[in-house]
Amino acid sequence: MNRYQKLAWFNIIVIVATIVITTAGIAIEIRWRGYSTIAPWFFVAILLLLRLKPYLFWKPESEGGVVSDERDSLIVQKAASFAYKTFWFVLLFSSFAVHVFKGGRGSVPVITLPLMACGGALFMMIMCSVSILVQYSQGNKGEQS
Amino acid sequence: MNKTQRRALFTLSISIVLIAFGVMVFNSMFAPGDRTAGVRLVKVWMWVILAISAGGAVFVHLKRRTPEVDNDERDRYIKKNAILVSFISLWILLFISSLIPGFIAGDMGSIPVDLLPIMNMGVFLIAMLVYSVAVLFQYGREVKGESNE
Repeated sequence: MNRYQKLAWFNIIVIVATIVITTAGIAIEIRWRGYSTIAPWFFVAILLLLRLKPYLFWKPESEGGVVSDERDSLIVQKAASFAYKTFWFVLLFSSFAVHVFKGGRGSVPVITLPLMACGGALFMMIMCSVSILVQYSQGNKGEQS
Repeated sequence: MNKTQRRALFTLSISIVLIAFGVMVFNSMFAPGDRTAGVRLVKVWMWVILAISAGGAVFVHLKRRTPEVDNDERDRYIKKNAILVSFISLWILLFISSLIPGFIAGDMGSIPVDLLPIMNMGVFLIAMLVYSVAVLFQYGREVKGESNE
């Protein structure tokens, strides 16, 4: 497993853990107190783990420490492109879906907009990571990266 | 003018036309009188814009499957820079579009559901416009006298 695959797994685990723990925290807090003020901070706190990536998966700076080649760059480039396109599709489709389901005269809370943007960013990171892992899994068997 | 520039010009012109339509639709929502007419117009235009965008994406994808002979390292570098600029502008726009309704309607306020596709489509079109302008700007900055034919 090379550096990009480790990064992809790390992204997926952190983001999924963030979503699961925050959702569970909000549900528990609402059930006990009727409102939620503490649990949403879990979201920020766990996501801060993503800032540890440069320290956890550092690039070797020695002369022989090659971490990626042309193929790796191409895989990351394709994954980023795929994630960007998917992000746009999902963002626009979800906007139209809300419009269709709520009806033309409905309204949505203002908080929906930053939540959509935040959800979109997380979705893009997950799609990029999944795309990286899928592309590596389609490579030659037995290859050591 | 090479293929990348032609494509950027096409995207630029389509984006400008669609942004103009978006502004028209946005204005019609807050026009005095019966709001239903505005909402109906919003629905019609949003589906038209979505159809044009989806059709454009399919067209670009099909065109990309043909081998591009006039695509070299410099073209790829220019496109990469333009995508980066477009990506940064996307997050700035999303950040601004998330803040402005909060200031207008208040933190606990709500916005008409029609605004959601208009805003997100507007952000998409502006990001496309930024990409096209970035591509054309970078080609425009190249050494005079060099031809891309």
